[in-house]
Amino acid sequence: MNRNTCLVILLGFYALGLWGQEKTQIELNGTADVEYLRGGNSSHYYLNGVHKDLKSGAVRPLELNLLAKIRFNPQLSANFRVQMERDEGLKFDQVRLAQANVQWNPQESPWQFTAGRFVTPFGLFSNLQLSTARTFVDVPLAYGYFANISEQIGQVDRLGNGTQIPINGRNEWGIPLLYYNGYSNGLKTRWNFAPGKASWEFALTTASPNLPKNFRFDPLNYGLITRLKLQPKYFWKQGFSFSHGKFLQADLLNDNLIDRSGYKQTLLGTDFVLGFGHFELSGEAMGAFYRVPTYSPSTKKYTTNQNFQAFSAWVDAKYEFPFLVGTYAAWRVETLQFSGTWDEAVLRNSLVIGAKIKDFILIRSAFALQSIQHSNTTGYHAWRTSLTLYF
Amino acid sequence: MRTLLSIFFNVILLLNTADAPLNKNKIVGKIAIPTEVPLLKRGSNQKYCEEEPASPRKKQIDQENHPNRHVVVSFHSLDFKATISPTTSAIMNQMEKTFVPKVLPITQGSTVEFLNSDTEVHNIFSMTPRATFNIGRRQPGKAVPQLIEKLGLVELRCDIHCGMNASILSLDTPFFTKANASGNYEVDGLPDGNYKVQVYHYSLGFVEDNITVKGGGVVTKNLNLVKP
Repeated sequence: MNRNTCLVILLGFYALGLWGQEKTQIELNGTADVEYLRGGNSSHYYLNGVHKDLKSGAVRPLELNLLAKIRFNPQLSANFRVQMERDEGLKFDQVRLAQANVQWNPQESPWQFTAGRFVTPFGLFSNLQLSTARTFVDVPLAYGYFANISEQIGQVDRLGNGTQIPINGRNEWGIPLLYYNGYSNGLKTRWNFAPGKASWEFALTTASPNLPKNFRFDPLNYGLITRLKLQPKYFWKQGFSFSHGKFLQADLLNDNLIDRSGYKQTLLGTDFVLGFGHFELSGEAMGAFYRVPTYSPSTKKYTTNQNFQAFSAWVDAKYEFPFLVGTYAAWRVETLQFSGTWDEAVLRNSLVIGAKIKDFILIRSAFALQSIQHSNTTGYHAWRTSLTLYF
Repeated sequence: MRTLLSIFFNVILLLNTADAPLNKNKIVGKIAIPTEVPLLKRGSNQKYCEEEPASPRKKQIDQENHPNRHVVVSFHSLDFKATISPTTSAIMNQMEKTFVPKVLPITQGSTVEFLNSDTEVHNIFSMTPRATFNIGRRQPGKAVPQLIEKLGLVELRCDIHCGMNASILSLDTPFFTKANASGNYEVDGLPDGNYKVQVYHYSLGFVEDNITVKGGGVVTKNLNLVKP
């Protein structure tokens, strides 16, 4: 999205605000994140979130969000989020309309319906899209990891960090292993069938959730995403997620693939949250299953119908200091494993200390120690200290 | 001699207690409240909440908990320091991921019981200066007492559930009440004198005015929260 589009959206928000004073209730809010980041010698945006040019230490804006909720009446509302962030972790010039949907909550009904661009209902982080809701600065590995799979040419060995393939003027790094930026397009319903005990979400989307350019409508692509949330005990929440969809995009590079629609992403996941006193334990286990063509840059040929799997698990332990209100410490341990030689397994340990200084100021400082299996290369550690303001 | 001393001390005692006038006045009135007010207020933690389908109980709570139904009127003497005693049965409940009531008026130094009436854990914390606390995640049915020593607003949040917020309004006067759904209120027992009238609405904030009461009568004081 270019700056002019962003300006139009901002003016649109302003106009809605003026109109909303008479017709509706409108809430405009925003968040701004600035960070100091520093990484090891092997730092790379796609590997540890620190761009190599910033590894010696730098202060950079991390994210800016403008949020609008327009309530036409108690049943009908519209939700928008315009997000600005750094391109590949460096230049702060990426603007996107992250969320734009209309939501209907029928009166006296346990159902809710959403149409447009909405939060992808997969996994525990579907509720944690804004940094203000997160314990750490980083999302778990599985959510931020880019797989060696391109949306145009399928799987390529060591794509990006070993094999350089320029597509549309940029070296291809692949697509996110799970989902892109946490939002999908389509229709979503939520059924609160046992209030306080269980609810279910189901979404029909225009592609599997890993596709960055999922604004496009491609009749060959679709996605189904569902999530069941249970609360077996008052201190225990358990979620089960499933997603299945297609993502391969039509491109001159894959014209000779006979059937693009045969290539799919399937996700399975379960997550939990346990809370006692000032302590919280949460975690998630996920499997990502890909059926894709593989592409050989040397022969420029495809091998069709290949299967790849990745497994990921993370656990967060968080403690809030009761004697220093607003402060906490947390530890995350996580791993990402791949089938065969698809990619190298990653292990990461992270520590964070956070402090809510005011109701609208949050400071976090996190250190992550990361290692890559079968690699003697070190220097993937990252230190990120962020200041989050919300208004 | 003993009788004379007794009379002298009684006169001194009478002079000391004469600061608070003996006449008791009643104030009645109506608060004009806009029919449509923002349900949220700036600085609340409801900026980015995925809405959930509401259960019938939640809808009922939301209606009863509408900020328009929690308008607090208080009278603060400008002539004497009123004696206050702790508010009894000050309960802040958590039901259907909502604080009930939205605004809880108490006298300064009261203990508020935080009660979890849901089927899941809640926490309550306050970042309000001089009233910071975090009582942690609490199991359903368990009430946790918290002494409120600060004067003024104490903003409450639940860190687990986006959008849960409420206020405790800690007052230095015993003369306060909540307006009813129509905006009508009645406060009794005010001694003669000059008072600052304070109206608090969760979304609209404070409105202040002054009033003088004397002679033990009934005085009408209407107040307006509607912007001209």
